[in-house]
Amino acid sequence: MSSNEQNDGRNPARRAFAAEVLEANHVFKQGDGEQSPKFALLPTGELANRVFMVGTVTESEETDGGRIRVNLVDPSGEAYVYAGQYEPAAETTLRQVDPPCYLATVVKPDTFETDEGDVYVSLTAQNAAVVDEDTYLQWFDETAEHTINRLANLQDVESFEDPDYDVYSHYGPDIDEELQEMLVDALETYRESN
Amino acid sequence: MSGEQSTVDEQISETVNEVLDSVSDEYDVDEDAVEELVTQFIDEYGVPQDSARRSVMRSLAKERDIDVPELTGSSSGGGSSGPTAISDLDSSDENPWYTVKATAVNLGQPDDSEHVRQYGYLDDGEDRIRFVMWASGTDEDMLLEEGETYELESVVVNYSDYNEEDEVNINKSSNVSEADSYIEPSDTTTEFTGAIVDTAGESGLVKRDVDSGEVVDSSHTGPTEKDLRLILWVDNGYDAVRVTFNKELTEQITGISFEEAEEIAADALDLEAVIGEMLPELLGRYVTVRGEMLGDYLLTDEFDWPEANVDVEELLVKARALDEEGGDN
Repeated sequence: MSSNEQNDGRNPARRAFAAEVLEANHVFKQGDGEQSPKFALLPTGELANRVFMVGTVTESEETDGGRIRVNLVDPSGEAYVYAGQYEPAAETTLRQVDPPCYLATVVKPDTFETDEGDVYVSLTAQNAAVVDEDTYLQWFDETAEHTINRLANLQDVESFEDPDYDVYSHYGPDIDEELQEMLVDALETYRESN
Repeated sequence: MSGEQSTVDEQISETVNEVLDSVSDEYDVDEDAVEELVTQFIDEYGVPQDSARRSVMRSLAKERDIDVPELTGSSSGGGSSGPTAISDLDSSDENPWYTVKATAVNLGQPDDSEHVRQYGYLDDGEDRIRFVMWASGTDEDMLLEEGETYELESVVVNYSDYNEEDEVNINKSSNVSEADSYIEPSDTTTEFTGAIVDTAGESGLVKRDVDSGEVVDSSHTGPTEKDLRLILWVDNGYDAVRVTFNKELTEQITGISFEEAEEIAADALDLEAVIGEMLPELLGRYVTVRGEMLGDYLLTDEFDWPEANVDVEELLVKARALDEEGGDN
């Protein structure tokens, strides 16, 4: 049970496909406090403190650090989702997962830097549950709609007052076209398999 | 920018109509004079619509040497005292005394205040507003009854810093009587669909203090009784809402009865085992809930599980159309 947010509003779990979430490597704190929440700037322009993801688990594996890692696949791509001792509820679920199966999970996005200086996105599960196909289909539909809406809004933005929101400087001047391509590819992949 | 939506002419004619509508039939008002005054305020001086309307009302009342409530027929002292719609109650009015005809709902009595006898909501079938009945100076026996319709004369509308909204004050000058007809309260049911993403408070098999009914933890001393309930975060990607389920609805949504929950807790020697067993069946699932919002909580009356309905062709059409509107490529 997460407890520290019970008296406040809660940051919603954004809906985004794996391919978009994995691009979201601009992560920053909002506020100066030690407990200030971290947000990832999604390439479609939305800030995400958490993301709700559903997909097919194809593999699960113990990491060298003693955490559990699963591969979560959706029509856009594949993401690693981790849980360890600090996420006991999620860890228990991920250790019991028997691939292949559908998994729904709320993840907190963050980044890590390799020795070469590349910055990658890491996803830590706050909680997770095995779900049925219908839940996966609802998520897919909703996530496609939300992504379309974010992209449509992004095209209306003329300038970014806050540099933390500037997707073009963080993700390149063609990011909106790349995202649209990602989205169309994901929808076509879905259509072929359903 | 949203303030620019209507043209000046529209604002003027709207304001003129509001003024003419709110003046009681017993007073003759020169329409041209009103229009001239409104035009002067809005067009020449750029006064906001609301202020212009109030200024004109005050000036009309002054001409007749009466006050604004008398002019609108809402003064309790005057002969005709028609009630004001709750949506028209406004603490920023020059003279925020009103007569309200409404049904009392969601009533409560504080046990820690000598000053407030009762609080709740007044609902006139269209809108509702919080009210406070002050103990001082009001009749000791006066208490509104849930679901009864009242005519409340000479109540004051104040802005409550605590609740951050306007509220009706029933005080020693107010006169409360049962209304001659019943008003059906407005439908305030909220519907929300989203994924269940977490618990938002003690859930599952919980202990309540027998006297207060409050949910307490294991360190609590004194008599308790067990209950089933859920408080869940339901999240649609834009908002997260705390949603509560009472005992019966918790049994329905989890498929675990109160008796089964007690067995689970007894076998595990742990109350928490119950929510541990419930959550895997709930987390990640989409649910539609309907009920009343009470503060930050949506109190579920009924729920159902929505079904997937993916129209991938339509999604593709929308996705492919995106860059056509962008204009920069």
